[in-house]
Amino acid sequence: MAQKTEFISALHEPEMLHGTIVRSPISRGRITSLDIPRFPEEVVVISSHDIPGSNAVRILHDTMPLLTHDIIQYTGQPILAVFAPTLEQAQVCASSIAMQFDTLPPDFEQQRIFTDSTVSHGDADAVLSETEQVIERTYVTKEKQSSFTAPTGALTIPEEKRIIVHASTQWPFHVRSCIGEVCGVQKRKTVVRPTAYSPNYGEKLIYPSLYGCLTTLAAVKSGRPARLIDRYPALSPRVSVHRKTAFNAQGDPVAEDILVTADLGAFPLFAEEITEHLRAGVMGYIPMDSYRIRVRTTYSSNPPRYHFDGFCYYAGLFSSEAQVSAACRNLSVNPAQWRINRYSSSKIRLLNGAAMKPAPVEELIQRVAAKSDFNRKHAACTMNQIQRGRGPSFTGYLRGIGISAGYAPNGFSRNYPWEKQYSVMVRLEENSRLSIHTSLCNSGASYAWKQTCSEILGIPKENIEIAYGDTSNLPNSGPHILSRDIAVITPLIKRCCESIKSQRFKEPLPIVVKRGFKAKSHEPAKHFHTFLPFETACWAAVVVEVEIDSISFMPEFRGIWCALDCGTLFDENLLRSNLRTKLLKDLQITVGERITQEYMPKIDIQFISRGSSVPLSGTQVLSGLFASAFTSAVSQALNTSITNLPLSPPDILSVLEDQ
Amino acid sequence: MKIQFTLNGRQEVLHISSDVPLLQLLTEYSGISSIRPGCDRGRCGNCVVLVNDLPLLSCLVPAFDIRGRQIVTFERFSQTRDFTEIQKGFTQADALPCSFCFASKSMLTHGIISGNTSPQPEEILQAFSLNACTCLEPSRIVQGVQQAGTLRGRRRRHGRRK
Repeated sequence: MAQKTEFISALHEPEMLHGTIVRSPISRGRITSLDIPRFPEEVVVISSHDIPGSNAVRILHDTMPLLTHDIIQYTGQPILAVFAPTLEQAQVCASSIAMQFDTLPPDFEQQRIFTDSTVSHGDADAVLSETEQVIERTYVTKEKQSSFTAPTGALTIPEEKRIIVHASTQWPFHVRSCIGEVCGVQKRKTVVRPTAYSPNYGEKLIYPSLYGCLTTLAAVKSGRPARLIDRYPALSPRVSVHRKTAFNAQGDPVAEDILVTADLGAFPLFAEEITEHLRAGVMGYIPMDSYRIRVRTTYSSNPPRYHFDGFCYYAGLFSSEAQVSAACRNLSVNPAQWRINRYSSSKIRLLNGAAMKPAPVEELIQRVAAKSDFNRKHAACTMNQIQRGRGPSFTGYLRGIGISAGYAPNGFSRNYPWEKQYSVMVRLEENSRLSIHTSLCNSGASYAWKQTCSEILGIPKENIEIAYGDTSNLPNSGPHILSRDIAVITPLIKRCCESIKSQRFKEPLPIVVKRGFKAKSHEPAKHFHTFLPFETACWAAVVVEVEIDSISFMPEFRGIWCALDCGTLFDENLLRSNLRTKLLKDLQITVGERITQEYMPKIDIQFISRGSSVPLSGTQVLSGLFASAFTSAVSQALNTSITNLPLSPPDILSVLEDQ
Repeated sequence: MKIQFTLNGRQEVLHISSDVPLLQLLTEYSGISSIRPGCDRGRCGNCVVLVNDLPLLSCLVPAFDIRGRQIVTFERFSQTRDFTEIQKGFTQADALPCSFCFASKSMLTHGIISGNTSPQPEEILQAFSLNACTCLEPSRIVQGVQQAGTLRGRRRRHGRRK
């Protein structure tokens, strides 16, 4: 087994070619001419004509072309790949290629529907038209760019009988299958070694497969190792959620009509899974007799979107919690108390009436509210708002506090055909040495896996190692997304260890146990009215306090308080650090500005444990809850409803100018 | 353009375009693998190297600017006693950076405590604003750097007494 992996940028091979991609400068049209000058012999140009197999990266039935020679569907679409002994030479050669296009008007509007799915119950329209008190808002989460992450790329080394591909991928076996389909190389002759890629935000799910194919084509053509590292900005989908909620005289929500639209760019991938995550996100957890939820995914001339933060779940959760906060503002009630009154932990029900496992919502809200002194600060900020409305005063500062609570699911929503193959392996050898084998060997969850094994088998953690390897000697454990490493892989490793425990001292060493993943076999939309179609769910509550700087209009965070139920806790400090890192990243994206170390707010993170036997990932839930608590706080500070994210200082200035 | 400089104590002579960034020069021409660039535009702060003992972002330093200078990358720096102190200081403060920014944060710390072994929190955080990785809380960074500074100061005093 290889030692712990390196980042792709640190891998060098003698005689290695460096690659760059020639991309389309226009967003829609057709290539009319492509003039490639005569380059030196060592320069390799890859076009779509060099592809022996299918010219596409495929996920189930959805595909994304690798290179185009004819129709352009988005700005930045790869046309050619140029490889040369130095990156500088490759870039110079790439820039000397002349291209001409017939340009068509781009289609950036979200008009072309890719998938459209509606679930409903009762007559939402009738209730909404009969009720006097209706709150209608459109929440928009604009494209987010994940930046400052480890580089994305691939390095292919041709050997006599096989091809070695190093890729910074979250899904090594997908890289292998793509190379098979695109380059016509047999799977058994392709070995994919995942390199280190942390921190990642979902942008390394698909693109490394594309780069792996290009480097393999270059390596096969030239007979030399080829590396391609690309930093083309990857963006998340733009999601718009239109919500219309009717409230009765007692202030209880009675009906809701929700329309969700997600623009997935020119080539939508994972559209079904995004639909399920968005639907779960917008649902909220106030049961209603009448509702209609319509989720549309669309395609446009925007570049393909990547799967940032759990397939858009955060955007749905943001809208549902922001709508609750808007309702509380309209009803002039304390949002913490309002939530506690409605979410009695013993009978949590989703909007569709489906019961959930008992969740500690009340305890989580009470914890963050007490720690942040929410009730007093909320009352003070409301008073300040009223004072400001009466004219200038000494208390005319722009300060607000917001709260939100909710859950986020872990894992896929349905049983995909490929999931039957997913497994992990644990091997016990002499001298009580244990090794864990999974293709997600670069996961940050390894501390949880080691702790699990150590507790079950009584082996010291120093004796447990994660096997670093490749697709030839590691079991296929699926993609590293949706916190599967924590929610799916950890229970599998637990099952392996329990089996080893029963065989230990009876069977000869080494004892090798392999366990496969059994996903729920259902179509989520069909069962929408009965249960939540995910593996596990992590609950949390967040409070955010902000003050708007009166000169720069920058929201200054006076404090962020979080409480989570993360199930079994293995290393509290490490988990706290991971969550804090994620939250700070979200914070910078939310305000659209880089926040330097001097201005980073204090983040208080508490955990409660309800004795769940599995660990749960809290990163996804914090994204959505932070966004809604932040907009609630800014809404209170500015005395208006904030519905768009990110919210940068110029946006705040324009709100104040409107006022 | 002919560029002569010292890389990790070794004399290097390269014939290279004058505007090639130091980052590219190190990773492509000199085989340095410890640098973890995230943006190539001076925003991520993950490509720090020591130029004449000062931490600089290698993606913003043009090749012509390093003529006759001493460049130290993490490969060399991680073998020095200065680094051991920094590592010890951060460990004692329970503040270990992630593997992506570890090298850059170590060299930024070196830059701070080389001049002042008792830096103030504002000074530390201002210097660390160069690095965008948020894996450590600001308070932990301050504790780690101050602890490393204490160890460096102790060594200096000890050295002077000798």
